Amino acid sequence: MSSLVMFAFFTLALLGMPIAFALGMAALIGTWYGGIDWTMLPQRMMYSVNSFPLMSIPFFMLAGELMIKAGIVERLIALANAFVGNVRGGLAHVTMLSGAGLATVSGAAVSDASALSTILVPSLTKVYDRPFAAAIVAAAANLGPIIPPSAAMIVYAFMAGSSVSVGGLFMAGVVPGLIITAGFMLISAWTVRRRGWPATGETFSWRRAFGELRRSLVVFMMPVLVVGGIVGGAFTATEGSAIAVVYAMLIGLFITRRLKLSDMPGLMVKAAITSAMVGALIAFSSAVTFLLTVDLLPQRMSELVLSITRDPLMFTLLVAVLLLVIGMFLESNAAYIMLVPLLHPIALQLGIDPLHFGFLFVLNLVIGMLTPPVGVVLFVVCGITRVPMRSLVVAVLPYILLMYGVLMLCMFYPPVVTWLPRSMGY
Amino acid sequence: MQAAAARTLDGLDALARVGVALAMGGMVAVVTAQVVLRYFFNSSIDWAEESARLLFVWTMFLAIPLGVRGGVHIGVNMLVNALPAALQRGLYRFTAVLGIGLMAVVAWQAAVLMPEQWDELLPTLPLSVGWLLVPVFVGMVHSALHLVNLAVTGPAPDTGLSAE
Repeated sequence: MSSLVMFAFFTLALLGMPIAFALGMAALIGTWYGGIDWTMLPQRMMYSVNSFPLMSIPFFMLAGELMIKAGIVERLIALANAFVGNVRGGLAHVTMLSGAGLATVSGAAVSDASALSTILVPSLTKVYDRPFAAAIVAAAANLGPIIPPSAAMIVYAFMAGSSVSVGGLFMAGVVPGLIITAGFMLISAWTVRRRGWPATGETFSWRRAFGELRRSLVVFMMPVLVVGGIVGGAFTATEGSAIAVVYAMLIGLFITRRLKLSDMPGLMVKAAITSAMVGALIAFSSAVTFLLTVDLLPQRMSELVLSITRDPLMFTLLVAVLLLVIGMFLESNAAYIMLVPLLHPIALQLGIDPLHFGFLFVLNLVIGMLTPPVGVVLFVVCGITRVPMRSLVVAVLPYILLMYGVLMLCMFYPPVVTWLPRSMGY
Repeated sequence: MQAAAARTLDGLDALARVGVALAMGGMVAVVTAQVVLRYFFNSSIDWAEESARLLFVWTMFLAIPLGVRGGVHIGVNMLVNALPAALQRGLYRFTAVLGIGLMAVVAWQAAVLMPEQWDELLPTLPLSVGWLLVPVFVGMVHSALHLVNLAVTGPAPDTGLSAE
């Protein structure tokens, strides 16, 4: 039955059927073949979505949308500009730091890419060429799912079950996220120096820097309150994400005054529709997962992998290669939903730290969002900046290579990932 | 005929949007109230988590058809894009028809389950468990209608059924 289900899924997906629906059709065919009652389908779909932790995905998406609508990107840009705007490559650094700042309040690369491209690219192209401007925006947006909060990490933790906590995974992303941000800034500085682009921005002044810092304090209070509250055990990830929504709403309504109450329904619907893409994948895949479990596929897959290798590092490397290939062709949420239930238990069996494995998994697929042909961040940035895909891919390549370098560092030196969450008691 | 069908779908979408906004607002309100009550009033709402989950199920299943309309449900289009345009259109219609069949079966089975479970109550709410299946039925029927529309008219420009 498993073979038929997998064959049906891959055939329909390759014929262009949306992945969620291809999973549903595969489940329908599998239940028919296996003589299983079709009432299993709506029941599994409903119970898979009837989850309190999953609720944090639309909440974090809504909080991100509200913060963007509230004009916090402009505040972050002004802050970064006050500190690094005057150095060579300053505008590129402003983009990277704005991306990192936005990542602390938003959990998704796509909305970050859309916001940063729209706001920053007109200024960037006055100094740099268009492909480089688009590349730094794409790289900065990709920090979104690495630096907490992160929708990708929530989906991973949900699919992995009780062995991975969302708070622990959030903390696992902090140090690698900072290393990647610093690396991105070094690459940008090197590129700007090599291409001879001039320094821009006003001369640094402590007065201006402190003024902008004060203005941005409300933005940085959100990750302190929300991520701090989740990590500190004051509330769950879902409660934290709901507080993020209320906080972002209050900032937009009363501090920046850029948000109107009439904007709320539209933003809620937008966040819900984006989340429903993940919701549909989870709902339809739950029926497939049930069929594969009935057919003992996870156990058989585990036996197969363990017959190839029992070395944790070799297994991690094999998974990295698998995700590198899959990340090029499959949207990352589909990959989490289909592969985490199969691969995470094997990692546990091999004694791999679940937070370490989880973070490597997420980082691998986040890099996939920046690699062709199915790099969703590339599509968003190309669409907004009108830079041809080929030029963008060439310009963004050094950033992709850096991310792979950090992935290798995290793989061979796990404390980069595990030190912070472990020292916080995870 | 087609114009009337399009108007009906627009009306259904508008209703779904209202439902989604209300459910999302309700979720945020209930979950936030729970935290506020816990920390500031040393109290809690017994039914907070269950009602939030119920609203979340409604949000997801009402938003899935809106995603079908907007083309947010991602797919792998590399192979299809390499085919001649006529074959692409044919495949698009074929997968849309399969999708209609899928939605119809799930909606039908949800309708079968609902009366069977109607007498069972949610643990902390005076509501039937069936209220968790109603959005599955509604969402699948609404999605099927959008897929019928897409099978007849083809994908909207720049928003194929598959986003990639």
